[in-house]
Amino acid sequence: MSEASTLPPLGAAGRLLERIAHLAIAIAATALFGLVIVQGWQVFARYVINDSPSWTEPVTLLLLSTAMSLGAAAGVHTNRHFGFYLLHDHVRPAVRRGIDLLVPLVIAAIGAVIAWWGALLLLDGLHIKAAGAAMPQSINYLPLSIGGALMVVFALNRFALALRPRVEEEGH
Amino acid sequence: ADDGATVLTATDVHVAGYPTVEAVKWIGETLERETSGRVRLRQYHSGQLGREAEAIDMARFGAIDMTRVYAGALNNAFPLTTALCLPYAFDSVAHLRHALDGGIAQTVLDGFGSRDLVGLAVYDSGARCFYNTRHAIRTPADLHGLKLRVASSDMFIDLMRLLGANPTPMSLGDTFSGMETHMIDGAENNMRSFHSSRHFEAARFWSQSEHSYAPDILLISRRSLDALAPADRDLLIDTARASVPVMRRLWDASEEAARQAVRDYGIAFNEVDMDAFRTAAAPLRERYLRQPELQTLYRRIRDFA
Amino acid sequence: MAIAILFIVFAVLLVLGVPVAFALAAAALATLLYLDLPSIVLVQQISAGTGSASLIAIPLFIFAGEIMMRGGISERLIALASSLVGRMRGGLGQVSILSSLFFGGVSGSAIADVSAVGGTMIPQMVKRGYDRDFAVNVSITAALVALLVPPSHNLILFSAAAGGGLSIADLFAAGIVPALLMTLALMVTGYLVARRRGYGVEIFPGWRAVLLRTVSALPGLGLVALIFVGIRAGIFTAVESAAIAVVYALLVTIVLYRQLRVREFVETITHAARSTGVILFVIATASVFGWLLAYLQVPSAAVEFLQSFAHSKLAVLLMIVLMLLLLGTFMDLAPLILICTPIFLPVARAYGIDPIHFGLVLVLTGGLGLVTPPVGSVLFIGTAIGKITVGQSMRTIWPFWFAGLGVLLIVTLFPSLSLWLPAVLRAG
Ligand code: NA
Ligand code: NA
Repeated sequence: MSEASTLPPLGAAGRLLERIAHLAIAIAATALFGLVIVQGWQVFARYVINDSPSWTEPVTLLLLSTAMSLGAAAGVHTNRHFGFYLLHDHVRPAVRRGIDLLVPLVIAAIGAVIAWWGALLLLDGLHIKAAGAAMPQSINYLPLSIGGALMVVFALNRFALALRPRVEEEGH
Repeated sequence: ADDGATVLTATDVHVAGYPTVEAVKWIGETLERETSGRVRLRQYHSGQLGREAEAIDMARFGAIDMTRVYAGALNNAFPLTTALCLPYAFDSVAHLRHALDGGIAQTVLDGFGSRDLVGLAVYDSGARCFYNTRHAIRTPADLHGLKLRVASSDMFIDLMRLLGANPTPMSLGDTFSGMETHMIDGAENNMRSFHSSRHFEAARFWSQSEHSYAPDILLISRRSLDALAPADRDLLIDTARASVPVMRRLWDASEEAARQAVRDYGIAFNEVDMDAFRTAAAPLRERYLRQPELQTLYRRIRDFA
Repeated sequence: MAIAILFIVFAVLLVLGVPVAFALAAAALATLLYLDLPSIVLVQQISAGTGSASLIAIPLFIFAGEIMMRGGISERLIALASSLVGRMRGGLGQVSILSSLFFGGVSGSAIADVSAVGGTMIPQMVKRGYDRDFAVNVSITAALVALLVPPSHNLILFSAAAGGGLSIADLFAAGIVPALLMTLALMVTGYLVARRRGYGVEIFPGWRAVLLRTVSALPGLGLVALIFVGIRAGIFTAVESAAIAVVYALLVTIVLYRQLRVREFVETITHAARSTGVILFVIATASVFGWLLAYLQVPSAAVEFLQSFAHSKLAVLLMIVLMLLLLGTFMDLAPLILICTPIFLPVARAYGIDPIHFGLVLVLTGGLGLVTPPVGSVLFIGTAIGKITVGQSMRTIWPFWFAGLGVLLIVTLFPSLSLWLPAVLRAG
C-alpha cells in the first residue's frame, strides 16, 4: 500500500488527467452504490413481492466490473495499487530512475492488452443476449476495456513525469 | 509435450467418475493407443479451468482444445441448441436417442461452425425433473410460489415463470446451502446430478416431471482441429462419435445406481400429471418455434416420436 | 519451464516495485506467450475472476465499514470497549484489541479495521503517554482478530477460490472460537508488556456510563447480529447481507446518530470505490495467475512433492503452514489466498483435512504475513498512522507476533476449535 503521490504542479494536460481520474472514481462510486440498490431490491422482491427478478445477477456483475475497472484505473493515477518499494529506497539514484521509468511501462503494457482484447471481446459477444437481462452477453468487457485504456493514459503520464529532470527532496 | 506428441486439453465442470468425464477420458485413451502416443489428451475436470460459459470462449480462442458443456449454457449463443432443451420436445430416453442418432445430433453439431467451434458429440443425460424441500409436485399448480434455482438460461427462466414457480438464478455450487437455509425451495436437474451434487440430502421430494432432456455437448476448437494431420482429425471425429455409446452405457449404469442410492436415503418419488405440464409449457414452446430454423428442427424431432 | 517463467517474472517485477496486480498480470502474460496460448485469455480471466457472485460482498462490506468509521458507529463501539476493559493494565491497548473483536466483525477486513481502530486508538494512546511502538504493535496485531470474526471477507475469498462449494455460513461460524482465542492471547500479551513498561490504567467510568455506552453502541452490535443471523438462517445470502449492512449502517448514521452529512457520504463512497477498485483488480489478476497454475498442473505437483516426505495429516498441515508463512512474508493476504487455495486445498483434501478447518488455518497464517515485512499492508498502515518506521515496529512486535503464532499452532493442531461451532449451528 502506498500513499497518494505528491506530484509536481500540473499543466493543462495534467489538469485534464486529474479531471478524468475524478470522473472515473465518480463512476466507480456510482456503480458501488448501484450494487447496494440492486442487491437491496433483490431481497425486497423476494420477500415482499415474492418474485425473484432474474435481471439482478447480470446487472450486479456489470456494476462490479465497472467499480473494479474504473477504480483500478484511477488507482494507477494516484499510485494506490498494492506493491512494495523496498528496493526502490535502497538503490543508487540512477537505478532508481530506471525503475521509475520501467514500472509505468509495465502498467501501460498491461493496460493496453486489457483495452485491446477487452474491446475485441466486447464486439465478439455484442449480438448475443445475456441470460436474464436485456443486454449483450459481453457487456462486462465495456468497462474493462475503458479501464484498460485509462490505465495506459495514467501510466504514460507517470512515465512522462519520471522523464522530467526532477527536483528531489519532496520532504513529508 | 517435449517428445513431439500433440497434447489436446479438455475441460469439464463435472467431477472425475461422472459419465461425461469418463467418456472423454476414453476418447483420450483410444487416441493415444491408435496413434502410438502421437496424440494425447489432458483432462481438467471439476471446473479446474473455470465455468462452462468461459470454457466455451476459451475453446473458441484456442486456449483450450475441447470442452464438455450443458446445452442450456449454449442456448443464447447457438440458438439451434434450444431445440434440444425445449420442454416436452422428447417423450422418453428412447425417443431422444433415436432422434439424436437419426441426424438431429449432427444438425445441432454442424451449427457450431459459425463461432469457430466444431461439435464432436451430443451426450444425452436423462430427463430433468423437479426436486424440492416442501411437498410432492403433481400438477403445475403445486409449483406455485416455490422458489426454484435455475441455471442462467433465458429458456429455463421463462419456463419456470410460465409454470408458476419463482425462478431464482444461482450457481449450482450455492444451491445446496440455499435449500438447506430455505432461501430457495428446490431446483431441477437430472438424477445423476441430483445424486452427485448431494442435493438429495437437502430436498426430500423428487417429482418425475421430465420437463426437459437438455443434453451435454462435446466441442472442439476449430483451430485445434485444423492443426491436426488429416488422418488424426478423422480419427478424433470418429472416436468422439464412438464415445457416445460408451457414455450411454456409463450413464445408464450410474443413473440406476444414483436412483437406488437416493431411494435408500429415503427420497419420496412421485409421478406427475404429464398432460397438465405439457399443456402449461406449450405457450413457451410456441414462442420459440416462431423461429423458422427451430420450427424445422423441432418437426424433425417429433417425427422420431 | 513455464512454471519458472510464471514465478520468476512475478518475483522480479514485484521486487522492482511493480504493483502486485500488474506483476501478476505481466507474469501471466509472459507465460501465456511462452506456452503459445492466446493472450486474450488474460483479459477473459480478469473478467471471469470477478464474475463470482460471492465476491460482490467484498466491496459492499468495505463500503459498510467506511460508513461505520465516519458515521460514528465504530466510535461508539470503541467507547463501549473502553469502559469494559480500560481498567486493565495498558487499558487503551486492551481497548484496541476488543474493538477489533467488535468492529472487525462488521468491517470484515483487517485493513479497514486497522485504519479505523488504529486511526482512533493510536493517537489516543500516544496522547496518554504510551510509547508509539506499543500503540502501533498492539493495534496492528489486533487486526488479526478481525480476520477471523464474521463477516471476514478473506473467508469469502477462500470460499470463492475453493470453487464456491464451501458454505460461507460454516466458514464464518468456524472463525468465532479462534477469534476469541486470539483476542485472549493478545490481551494477555498486552497486559504483560504493559506491566513491564509500567503503563497505567484507565479510570472506570461507572456502571451508569457502561450502560449508556452499551445502549448507544447497540445499533452497531445489532448490525453484527443482523449480518450473522441473517446469513446463518438463510434469510439472505452473504452478498445480500452485505448490501443490507450498508443500508443499515446508513440508516443508523443518518437517522439515529445524525452524523453523516452529504459531503461526508460522498467522501465515504469515493473512498470505498478507491479501495474496491484496487482490491478487486488484484483479485482479478490473481485469478489469471491461478488459472495458469491449474493449467500447468501445479497443484498435483505440489501434492506429489508433499507426499514424498510428509506422511501424516498433521505433518502435511504443518508443512503447508510453514510454506504459507514464508510466502506470507512477501505476499499480501488476498493474492495469497487466491493463489494458494487451488494449490494446497486439494493436498489438504487428499489427506482428509476438513476444508473449513484448512480455510481458517490458511487465512490465519496469511494474516500473520500482514504484519511482517517486506509486504504487509496492515503493518504499513499502522506504522504510517503511528508515525514510526517499519524497523521501529519490528524491534518490539515479537511478543504479539509469537502470541499470534501460538494461536495459529493451536488452531492448526486442534481442528475441533474451528469445526465444533459450525456443527452445533448446523444441527440447531
Ligand atoms: Na471480520
Ligand atoms: Na508480509
